Amino acid sequence: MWTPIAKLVQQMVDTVFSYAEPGFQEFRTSAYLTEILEKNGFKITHGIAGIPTAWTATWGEGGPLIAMGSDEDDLRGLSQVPGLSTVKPIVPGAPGHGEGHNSGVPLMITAALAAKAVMEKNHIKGRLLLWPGIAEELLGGKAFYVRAGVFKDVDVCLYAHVAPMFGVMWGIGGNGMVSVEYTFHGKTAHAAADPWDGRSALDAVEIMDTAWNFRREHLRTVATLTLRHHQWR
Amino acid sequence: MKELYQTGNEIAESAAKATGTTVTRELLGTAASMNGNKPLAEVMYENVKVVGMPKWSAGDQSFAKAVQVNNHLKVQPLMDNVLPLLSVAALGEAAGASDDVGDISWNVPTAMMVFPSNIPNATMHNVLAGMAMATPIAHKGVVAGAKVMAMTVLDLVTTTRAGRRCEGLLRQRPDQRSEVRLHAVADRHPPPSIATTN
Repeated sequence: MWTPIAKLVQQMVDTVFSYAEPGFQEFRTSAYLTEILEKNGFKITHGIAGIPTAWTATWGEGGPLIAMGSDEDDLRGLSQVPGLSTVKPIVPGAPGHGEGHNSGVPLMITAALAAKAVMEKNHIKGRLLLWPGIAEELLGGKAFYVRAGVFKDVDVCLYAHVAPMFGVMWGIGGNGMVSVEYTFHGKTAHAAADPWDGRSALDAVEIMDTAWNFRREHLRTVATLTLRHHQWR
Repeated sequence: MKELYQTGNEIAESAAKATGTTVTRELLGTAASMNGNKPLAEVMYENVKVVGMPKWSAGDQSFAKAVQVNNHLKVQPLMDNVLPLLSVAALGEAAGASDDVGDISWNVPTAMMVFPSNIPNATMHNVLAGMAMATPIAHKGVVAGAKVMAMTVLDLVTTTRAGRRCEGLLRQRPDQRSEVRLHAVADRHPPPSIATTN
């Protein structure tokens, strides 16, 4: 069974690598992967949780409902020629799979197709629900999936992430995160004629930056803050 | 995490007040920490042991070494043994994870597998971690991981010993049905469809 599947693995992994789409932009990736699942008898639902690139693929009847997922987004600016041991982008400045998220959903699809074949042959009850981690790097997907009820009837979830090693983790730990955009609004005025009528949003950004840095000393050792300035209004 | 969020809000509001400006905020995303289910992890791990590491070729090892040498990384061969079953808590911050599967794991019994498709010491979230991701190293790791996932699915839907162990898990759905963390932080639905973080 695994020889033809290994060929499909290579095709899927390399194709998703070539698409190299960042968070919320995974349109070609999602279309490609769901087409494979649909051709293999899975029912596809697009746009889940209000996210245009998100989807679920379901198959089976009766038995437990098993969710299988992994991420599919990439990172900006990390375009890289594969199989080359020095840094060389395919397209300078373009996104790239510098976290290996081109491999996880192909893994889950491969596993689902193999399990489905065995279940069909042996008339085994059970349901599969495949899902992609959309915009994982932006913290943009999974909390919203849960809120939208994607996992409401799911019995267990199996998840996989690329690494150099092979293993399984359990227990409570790792990093929780929150991503927030703060936008300061000032008031324009002539810098020489009536500066007293103006208010500077940039001043507020600088004060926030300074306050964050002073606050760091008094955070729990496991807590970190990262402040990125990307626009001023 | 909630405390940090509140701290950020207070600092932003204070900065606005001090400068006579106004501030708005938008929560772009959240991620809970991991809450991996041990019985499920044990079932999955048994399959990791059965499948074992991929058989790396001389070419695979040579490429891995070239990536490490050319990019001043610690030289270490592609791994040839599976890890022991890991406690996330024992790994501490090394367990990493942004929103890998944390939010889901607080709502559904969840097992997290790491599969061997990349090169040791290649910095993640970096161009270095992309070098092997469309090579036989990645392909072999995916095949090995897919075998484990397929075997785990079959354990869960059959009456093998592992399947019987999982029956209780499926029925009980232990304390991973809490949604407290999510309701406390995620304040908007659907999420804002942006990609401005870089």
